[in-house]
Parts: sequence; structure tokens; C-alpha cells
Amino acid sequence: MNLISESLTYLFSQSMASMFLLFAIVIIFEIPRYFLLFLVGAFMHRPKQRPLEAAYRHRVTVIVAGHNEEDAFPRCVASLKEQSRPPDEIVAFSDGSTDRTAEVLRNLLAKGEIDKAYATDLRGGKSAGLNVCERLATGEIVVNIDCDCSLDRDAIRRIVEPFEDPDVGSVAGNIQVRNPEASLLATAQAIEYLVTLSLGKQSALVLDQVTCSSGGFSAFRKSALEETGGADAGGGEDLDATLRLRAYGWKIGFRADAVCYTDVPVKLSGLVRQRFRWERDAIRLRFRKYAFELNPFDPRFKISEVLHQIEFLVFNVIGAALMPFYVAWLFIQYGSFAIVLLLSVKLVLIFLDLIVFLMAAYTTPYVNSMRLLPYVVAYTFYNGILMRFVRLGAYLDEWLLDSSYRDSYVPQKVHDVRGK
Amino acid sequence: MNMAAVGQDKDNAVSTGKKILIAEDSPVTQDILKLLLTSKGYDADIARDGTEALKCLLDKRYALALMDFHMPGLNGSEVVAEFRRLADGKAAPVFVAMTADPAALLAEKNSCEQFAKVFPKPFDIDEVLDFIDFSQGGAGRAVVPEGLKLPVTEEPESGGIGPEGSAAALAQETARRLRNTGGQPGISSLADAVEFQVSFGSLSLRGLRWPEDVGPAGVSVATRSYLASGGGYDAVIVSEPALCEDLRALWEIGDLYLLPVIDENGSLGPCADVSVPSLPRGSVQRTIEETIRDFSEARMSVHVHIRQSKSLSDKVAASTYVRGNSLKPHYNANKKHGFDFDICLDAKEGAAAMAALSELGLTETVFFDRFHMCGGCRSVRMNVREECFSCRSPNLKESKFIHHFKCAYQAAEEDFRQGSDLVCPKCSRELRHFGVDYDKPGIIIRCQACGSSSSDTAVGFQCMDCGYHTDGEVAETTDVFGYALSEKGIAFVEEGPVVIGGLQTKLRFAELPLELVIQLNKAAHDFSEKETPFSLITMSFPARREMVSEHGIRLVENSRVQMMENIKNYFGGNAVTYHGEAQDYVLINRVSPENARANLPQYLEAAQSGLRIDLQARMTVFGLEDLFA
Repeated sequence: MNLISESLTYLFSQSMASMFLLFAIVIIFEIPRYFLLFLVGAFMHRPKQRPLEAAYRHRVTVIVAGHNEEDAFPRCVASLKEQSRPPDEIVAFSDGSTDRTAEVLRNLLAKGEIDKAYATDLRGGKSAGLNVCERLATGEIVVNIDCDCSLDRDAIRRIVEPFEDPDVGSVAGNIQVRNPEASLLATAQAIEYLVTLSLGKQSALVLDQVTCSSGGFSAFRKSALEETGGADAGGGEDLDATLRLRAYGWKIGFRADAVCYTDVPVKLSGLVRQRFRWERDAIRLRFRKYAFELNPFDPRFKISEVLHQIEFLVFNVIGAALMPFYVAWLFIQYGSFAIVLLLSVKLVLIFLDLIVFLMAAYTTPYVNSMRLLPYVVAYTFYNGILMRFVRLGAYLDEWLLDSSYRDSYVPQKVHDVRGK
Repeated sequence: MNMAAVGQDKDNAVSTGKKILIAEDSPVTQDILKLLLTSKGYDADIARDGTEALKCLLDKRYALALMDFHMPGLNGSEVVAEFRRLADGKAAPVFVAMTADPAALLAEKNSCEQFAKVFPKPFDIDEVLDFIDFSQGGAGRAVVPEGLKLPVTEEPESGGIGPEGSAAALAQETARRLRNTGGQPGISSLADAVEFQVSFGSLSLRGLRWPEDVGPAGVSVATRSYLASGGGYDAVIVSEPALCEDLRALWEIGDLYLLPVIDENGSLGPCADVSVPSLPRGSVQRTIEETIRDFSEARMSVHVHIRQSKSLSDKVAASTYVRGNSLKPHYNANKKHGFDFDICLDAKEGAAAMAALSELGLTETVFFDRFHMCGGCRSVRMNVREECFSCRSPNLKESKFIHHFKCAYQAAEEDFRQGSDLVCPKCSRELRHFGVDYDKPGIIIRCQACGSSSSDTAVGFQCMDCGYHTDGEVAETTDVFGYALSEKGIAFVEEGPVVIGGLQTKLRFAELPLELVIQLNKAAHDFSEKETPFSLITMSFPARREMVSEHGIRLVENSRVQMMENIKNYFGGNAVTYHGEAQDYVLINRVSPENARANLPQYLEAAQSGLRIDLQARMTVFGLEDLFA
């Protein structure tokens, strides 16, 4: 208590100039983001929900690809059959599974639960599997789902609605956490998904800045995939495909009311591994494969793409990179008083996070969010400190060691030959 | 109605002069005689041995009794003597004897007086019928009574023995022809019998020939006459192409099904017992000879009740026993159900009969095969094929997946192929280095009919009989088994239904020792006169076979005798014991069945006292009601 009251006293005794200096990192790297979210929240337009017939304008194929998922496949297929707008076609792919997955798929096919089933003996990675299925799919809209995900009843119905706009090439689904009660870490991730994925993408949508139709649950226009060549080799194929669609001029949509649930890592080690993979792939794709988007002399240069690239560079990369320097500077400058300062910052951030959380909860339908409210404090520390360090670690790993080229999510034979 | 009551009611007995008793142990002769007599308007009863004949004679009133002289139990002459002793002034029928050995009959002192007429076997059936008609005062009426039920028609499996499918019509025809030919020399059954001689080399045998004697229309009239007159056969000779179901008639008359089937042209395949074309040169005569001898020996071991049984299951059991104790299936593509057993009986009938025996633990099954059946016509003649999951076409083409590592394009090999080169359709790079540029991770199967594809194929069946298509997943299956008689099944055939507990709740007079029958009649008489109660206790030995194999027949039989001794001592002068074939009997005077039942454990204990081995005897009490109801 003493520490907090000291912090508050200190805060209120500062001049504007010293306040700005003290909170530089917060003011530069946190406030604008929040401000944007506030802004969007204020002008938020809820997506117009269309009558059920509208969801039947296009033929819909769902693709479920997996490696060693003998238990998950039947569950996933059953949940697809429960949709208010069931898919017209389900294509399943077993990517070199060594368990009974291929047999499970064959039985599902024989029972008529799915429409197409393919299995390979050798693992080729997710991209290759999706490419086969997408080409063999007969739907105009292709929905990709991870087989360990489960869907809200209206998820398919809602995710296909935006395709009425012929410019839309892909629509991202709203992926939320199925196991927030599993651990404090999982709870923090649940809040993170709510804020960054649900609210974050809703704001991005307003600004036409949705950059990733996640592999967990998203829909694609088949003709758009054909035009852009589908998935490329290597990890982060969802971000890759989305960025390419954007580069080709397709609009990317997002539906907050197309909800998909997934289990997040419960332990720190799992979480770190997952985020390292994501962040490494993001770095590699954005600043190697799509680096041309930052080059004004490249013929493919576009303002709309520069924006999200700079946003990512400033808020994710530089924000994480400056963090240790800022903390070190505070300690050098103020000695042990730095802790008090950091806590003061956190107090402000907790307040901001609370408002953002409430907004996210308000704008995210179907998800039971309010039970997460007490954990916003934990989220502040998770997002502001823990995730920054994880990201930093991932960026360094990728920059210095090219680790994404050895990721076990992609078979080594692919790593060996694919371009950087 | 009990036996005592019969005596009292004798004057009220149905006053038909046309009731005839046939006492005859051969099932074939029984069937034929009954058929002929019934067709002539007589009401014929069958007694299968001397004891049963005696009981019938005492029970009912007959105008004439046709007695076989040699019968199990007591012979014809003894039956007549016993009847006269017990008849108590009851009107006696006209007794007629049939025998293959007239000399032995005539040697018996009383025979000449007892029998009105003796027919030597094989006899001329017309003479017998004429005599019966004559003795019963007039020509027989060739009328088939309404609702006539013949044993053969009682079996639900029976398809009838003639083309008309009506046994009654056949009986009528038989009777008519017999009348027309009656008395004419040269067409008599004896003359026909000579024709039944068949020769294989120097071997001469009495053959029941297909199609002359037993043909598509059933058993010929001449054959019936021959059989009725007590004639017998050594084998069935199939001299023209036949199917196994053509010989169904063998299962309908007596125990003809226990004759070996000798197939001269091989058309019956494994259904025949001897297939002449498949025998090595020079061994035909010997093989036939041996088969006939083996069958004949095996037939002798079949218990008389099983031989005389009308149940198809019993017949199949006996057939299996005689034919080396196994009933094997073999593939037969000419049959919708795909197989036949190695006997001349429809496979379904055979399987149903065996299933019934199996339930009683009489057979052991050996899995033969599992057939998939057409959902439309139940045929197993189906084409099995790999099919498209979508349109069920078997027109499938398999090709390999190619995975191009560099751009993640994965597709069928054709998509990559440009002449002899492989070129990626997505990135236009050439695939040069297998394992480095690309690999082939699996297969893809394309349907040439509907264009759909898959990594796997469905299995389907196309019926070649009706064209009906069945999916592999839903196709019904049926399992076919071969059978062998279990130890219990062999015992069943050799020792009769007693093995399966057939006598536990029901006594059959035919099985009781004669002295016991006489004593029972006396006891029943006493009960109706003086109300003196009595009980009959049977002692059976369900575990006898195990006992014999464990302790030896001598010890078992001695123990059995000792048990009876113990019982006799326990009851003093009140009980009489009798030694039967399969079980022993104790007739206890002045003890009601209720009391006997209550004291049964004590009796059993008394019987077993001092015995070295426990025979696991089972005692059952029968009272007057149980015996004569």
C-alpha cells in the first residue's frame, strides 16, 4: 500500500515535461493504440446481420487438415454438422499421419459425414495440404478450420456474409479462448484474444487494416486463392496468404460474430514456444518476404500496406526493443525509485486496460467475457511486460539465427529448399 | 384316459371295423403300409416295437393287427400271447404275421393258432391288401379321408414327394395303380424287386435307382410296393445327372436317407457318398462295397427312435453319424446361397436342422466361410469391386500425389506432367530432383465417371443375379459352418433321446421293460379297484459317458446294479426293481407319488450308500396320472 500511495504522490507532483519523459514509452507505444481503439469504439458499426438465405448465396466448402488428429477429426466434423448453415462440402486431409487418422477419415467418408478425404503417407506441411484441398474443393467460398477448434452455431453463416461484396477475398473469424479457467496464464490470454483479436480486428476492419485471416478459422474466396496461388511453403501460411491477397488488391474482412473457440497453452513454456513461432514467422514474412511494401520505389508499393507494416514495426518491434533500455534508464536515473515509477505507469495502464476490456466485451457477441473482468490486472502485467520480452526474444532469435527456417511445424525437406 | 379306464370303456369303443394296427420296426415299411392302408379308407396306427404294439392293443380296439414277427422288445408271437393273457375278455383283432423267416415262426408252438395268416417277406402287397379287404368284409374304398395327415406332410420342410406336392393325391394314385395291376402275374412287386439289382463288376446290390425308382416325381409305385412288402436296399444309385435337391424324397420315406448315394456320372459332386467318375480305375467295386458295408454297420448303431423319428433334425443327425460324423459344406456356384452340404439335402434345410441340434449341444461347429448377401435377392453371387465413394462407379484411376516443396503446391502427378518433364503448375519451376525438389507423399484415386477424387476407395457389391447394388459397409453377411456331432451328439444317435433328457419328464412305454409294463398295468388296475397308490421312480445317469470313460464300464455297471440292490433292501418287499437299457426303474407299491417326491433325497442317499463312485444318478417320480395321461 505504501508503495502505491508513494507512486500516486509522486505522479501528482510532476510537471508536464518530466511526466512526458517518465512515461515516454507509455505515451508513444501504448496511448496511440488505445486511442485508436477508443476512436473505433466510438464509431463502431456493428456488422449488419443478414437473413439465413443470404448465407446460401455461395457454395461453401470447409477444409479440415490435420496431422495425427484421429480423435479431433470426428469431433470437428460433428460440430460442423451442427451449424445453422452447414457446409455444402467438407474436405478432410490427413497430412502424413502416423496414427489412425487416415482410417478415421475413410470411415467418415464411408458414412457420408464428409465429402472428400485425402491422406498422404509422408508429411508435407500445412501449406501443401491446404493447397490440395483448396483446389479439389468445389465451393466458391473455402473455409479453413483447425481440427482442434470448435465453432459457435452461427460461425459459418456469419463468416460467409461479407462475401456479398465482390472485392472481399477473405474474411477472418473471431477466434476466442475455450479454456480461460485452465490457468491464470490462460485467463490472461483469453483477455488478450478478446482485446487484440476481437476488438483489435474490429478497429482494423474500420481502417481496412486486417492483415491476418488466421488458420484457425477463416474463409477465402476460391477465385482469390487461385489468383494468388494459395498457400506458400513455410510457416505462418495464413499471414502469408492474407498479405498476398492484400497485395493483389483484395479486401480482407472480419466478423466478430463468427466465433471460433480454441484451447490456448496453459503453461508458460507452451505459450513461449507458440509465440516464438508466430512472431518469428511475422518478422520473416513482413520484413523479408514482404519488405518491398516498405520500399516506396518498388512498383508493388501501396500506402495501405505501408500503414500496417509501420504499425507492426513501431508498436510490436520497436516497443519491445526499447523496453529493456527504458527500464534500464529508469533504474540508472532513479535508482530503486524506478520500481515506484513503473508501478505508477502500471496503475495508469490498468485503468486504460479496464476500459478497453469493457469495450471489447461489449463488442464481442456470444462470448462469456465479463467473468474475466477481475483478471484485467493480471492481463496488464502479462501484456505490458511478459509479452514484450517474449516478442523481443522471438525477434532476436529470428534476426540473428533465422530460426523460422528450422521450425518443426514445417518438414525439414521443405525448409531445405524454400526461398527466404 | 388311463389304462384302467380303457378296460371299463371297452364296450363304448368306437365301433369301426376298419381300425388296423401295423406293428413293424422298419420305418420305410411303416410309412408305405400306412400310406396304402389310409388310401384304402382304413385307419392305421403304427407301433414301432412289440411293447408299443401291446400297449396299443390294450388301449384301443383294432379290427386287424399286421404284425412283424421279428421286432425289438418282444416278437409278434409274444405280443399276441401277452395280449390274450391281459385282454380280460376284450375282443381280439384278426392277427396277421409278416416275416422274413416263416420257418422260425412256424416252429413256435402257438403261432399257427395265433395268426390268421402269415405273409413271408418280401410279400406281395396286393395279396396283403386283398386279404385285409376280404377279412374286413368287402373291397377297400380308395377314398382319402378328409384332413388326412401323413407323417411326411407334417414336416414343414417337406416339399411334398410328388410333382403335385400332395401326398394324399399320390396315395390315391398308388392305390389306383395297385388295384389295376393287382393279380396280374409279372407286374407284381416281387418281379419288380428283381429289377432293383444293380451290378458293378461282379458286385451285385439292391439299388434304389434315380430316376427310375426315385425320380423327380418322388418314389415310384413299384418301389413303394417293394418297400411296403419289407424289401430293403443297399444303396441309392444315381445313373443320370441329378441335383442334390432332386433326391429330397429320400428324406421323406423312412430312413432311406441313411443309404449311401452312389453317383455314376459325377453330377452330384461332393453331395454323393461315392462319385464313380472320380474313383481311380479298378477301385470302383471295392470302394462301393466298402461304403455299403460301412453304412450298413453304422446304420445298425443308430438308435431305433432316431431311425424312426420324423424330425428332420434327428434325420440329419443320423445322416451325419452314418457319414463319418461330419457335415461339411462345399462351395457351389450354382446355388444362390453359394454352398451345399455334402449330403443330398437343400443347404438351408440342413443348416436349420443343424442349428436346432447345436442348441441342444449335440453338434460342434467349424467355421467355413462368411458370405456377403445381396440386399435384394439374398444371393451371394456378387461381384466385389473398389468403387467411387460418390457415384459408386468402379471406373477408378489411381495416380500419385506430387508435393513441390518450394511453393507447397501439391497435386496429382498428371497436373505436373508436361511430356516427360514435371513442371509445377503454380510456380512453373521444373521438378528435377526427387526427394529434394519434390516427393510423392501418397496416392490419389480419381473416378473416371463422376470426376471426384479420394485417397481411398469404397467397397461395393454388384449382385449378378438381380443387379442390385449393395455398399460394402452395409452388406449383410451370413456365416456358414460345418458340423460334427459332439460326444453328446454321438450318444444321442446311438442311445436315443434319453441323452438329451427326453425321458426326464415323459415316459415312453416303448422303452419300459415288458415285465414293468405288465406290473404297471396291474398296479393301475389295483388303484382303480382298491385305490392302492403306487409310484414309479426312474433312475437315469446323465453323466454315464463321463463315468464310463473315467472308471470303466465294469465298475459303472456294477455300481448301477448295487444301487438297485440298495433300493430293494431299503423298501423291503414293497418295491420291485427293473433294469432298463438307459435307466433303471423302481415300482413302489402303497406309496403315493407325492410322498415319494418328498422322500426322494432319502431314496437317493440309500441307493448310493457304500458305493465307491458317485454315478450322479437322477431320480424322477411318476404317478398314475403322469404315466397314463
